[in-house]
Amino acid sequence: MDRRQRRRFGGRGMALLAALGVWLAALATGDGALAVTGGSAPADASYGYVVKVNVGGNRGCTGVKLAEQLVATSKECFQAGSTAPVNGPPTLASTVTTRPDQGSAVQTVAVDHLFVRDDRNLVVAHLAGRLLGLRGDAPVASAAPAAGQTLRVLGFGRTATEWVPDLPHTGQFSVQDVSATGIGLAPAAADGAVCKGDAGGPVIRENGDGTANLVAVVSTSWQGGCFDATGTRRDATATRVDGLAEWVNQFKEIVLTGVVQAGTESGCLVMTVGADTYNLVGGDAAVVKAGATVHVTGYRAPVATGTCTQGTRFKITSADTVLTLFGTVQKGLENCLTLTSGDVTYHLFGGDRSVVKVGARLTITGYTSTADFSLCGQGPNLNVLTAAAPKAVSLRAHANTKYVTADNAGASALVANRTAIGVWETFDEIDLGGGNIALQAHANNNYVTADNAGANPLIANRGAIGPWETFLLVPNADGSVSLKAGANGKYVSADNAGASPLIANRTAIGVWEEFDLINS
Amino acid sequence: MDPALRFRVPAVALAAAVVMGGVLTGSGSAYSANTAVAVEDPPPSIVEDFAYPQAAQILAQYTVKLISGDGGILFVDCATPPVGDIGLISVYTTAPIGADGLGRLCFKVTKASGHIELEVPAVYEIRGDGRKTGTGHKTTAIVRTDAGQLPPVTVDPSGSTQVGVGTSGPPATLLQLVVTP
Repeated sequence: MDRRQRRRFGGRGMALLAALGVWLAALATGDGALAVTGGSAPADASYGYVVKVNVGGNRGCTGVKLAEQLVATSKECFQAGSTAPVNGPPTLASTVTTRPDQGSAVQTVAVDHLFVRDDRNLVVAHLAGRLLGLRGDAPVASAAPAAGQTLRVLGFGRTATEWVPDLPHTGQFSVQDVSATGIGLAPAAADGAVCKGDAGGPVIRENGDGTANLVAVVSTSWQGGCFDATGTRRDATATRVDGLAEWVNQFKEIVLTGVVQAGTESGCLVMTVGADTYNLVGGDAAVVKAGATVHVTGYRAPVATGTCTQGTRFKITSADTVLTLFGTVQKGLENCLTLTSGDVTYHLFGGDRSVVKVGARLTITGYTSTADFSLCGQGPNLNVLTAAAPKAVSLRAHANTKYVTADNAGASALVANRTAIGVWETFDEIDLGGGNIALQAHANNNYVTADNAGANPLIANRGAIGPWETFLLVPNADGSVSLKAGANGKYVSADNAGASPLIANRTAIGVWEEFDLINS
Repeated sequence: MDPALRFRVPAVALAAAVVMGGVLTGSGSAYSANTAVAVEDPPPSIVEDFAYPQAAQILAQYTVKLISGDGGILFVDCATPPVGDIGLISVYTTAPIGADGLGRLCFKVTKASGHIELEVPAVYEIRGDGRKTGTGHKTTAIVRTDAGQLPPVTVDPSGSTQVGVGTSGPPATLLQLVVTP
């Protein structure tokens, strides 16, 4: 329908006087329930995902929950004087407040970061806390709106009689026109309008199966019939959100596990996970430090200007040091699974139960949790990230292309003098984390040690893993590996071109220090 | 200039002209003239600015300057009937303002908490909205004298609290009322 046809000519002055009269009447009775946005009652409590947004104490808008910590609203709401909002923490103290009828106390949560859409009147606000227990949801629509469609608008804005309602009101609107980033709306009912305070309110498509999708958020309105508004035009505009699910999803909380590295710029920390590099911001500095393997929870948080140029800025909300433990899974008290490493017995929490089971010898990576699991009181909780059994390997010396053997069933030192792989030439490679391994000889089930702090040749005669039994697995450019003994920091050599036993006494890698690591 | 303001000003001016002229039937042509421009322009902002609604009319009618608030405390007719034990917060001033020009202003608390910013000169007494002991909202008043802003005044929820000349002090201007749960 053409805008001209929608105009209502009559009653302009009448409306103004009536509005004043209603205001005074409302003041007299305290009754202000008539909704401007259509209907006479507040929106049903099932629209719990509609939230109130307050910026700096003097700007009020509506928002729509996209995730527990993400709310979409109008970018204009965060305008500070003539300064438009930019990516980063809001310049004005801002909060999001839930409806009072969601079964728990009203939740008011601070906004700690803004994701600003440059091409339209839209921001996604990240919250310092989670919005929990709100009823309903409206995932971002994939289908575009079309002229003539009927959509529902919800907002905490003024009604015909009420200035700052505690509950949102709602009405149906029809789509008048659609552009690349916006839509025009006209109320479906004669008393419908979008009013002050509705900015950022959701425009949803209600589907036949009872679900709803977020199509747009309200942008501007002529506010006809709104409390203390003087005009009569009731058409409004909204900012399209459909198709932006991917844009929104990148701001949701994710977890990363990896090694923290110093960035190019001073004071910057980065982590590379797969093909993505992140610039880590925040988190406990004692945990998140260069060289540490960490498990971090957080969100991508780009800022307009930053000193760290490497990777996507990632704001950490919680960080844990990743531990690597090796041992045998035991059945602990209360039938909980435990693993003892060093002096500490951990309660294993999570992980693949077909792998993490009683009796399994595993290298487990995980992080300790302070959460109280009442059923398993034994030891600190270890949240399992990965669990893997040792793998059987053989070593072939580049010195003479012969296999390393735990000669004489392990009674003699390791030497590279076999041409085929048998039991004596097979070792369990045990991942100790941080690139370190231990080798357990199949010949006698003992661990290989750089005996006498590396002064004596390697021999498989130890029952436990200590520094002498720890070797750093150093990858070489040609695909081979070298072993750097934890005992003395020297490389293991197939000495005398392999004729002598293996010994950790070289400070550089040459051919004698190269081995092919072959999975058996 | 705030883009929203750009559109708001003519609309208000137009409406005022129509009302003052009292020519309700004349609005059609004026409206057309207005929209002829507006068709290309986006509608005004709908961010709630918390400026007190109809402050200009209230100032003209009651000589009371209301500035802003959050809807939790509203300026009302003193004849508004009480609800149970809760009546109205009354502000008394020696200035000849208010509905009857006798210096009594009434405020109704409509939410569990709220605030209203205003400027009422020569306030000497504030009466809480509780109609009997133990009732009424917890109310705090901010007043200013020529010497500057005073510490917040805790208002007796169910009685009268003197301020300004009521305490034999200098004249006080009421700047804010705050209600907390």
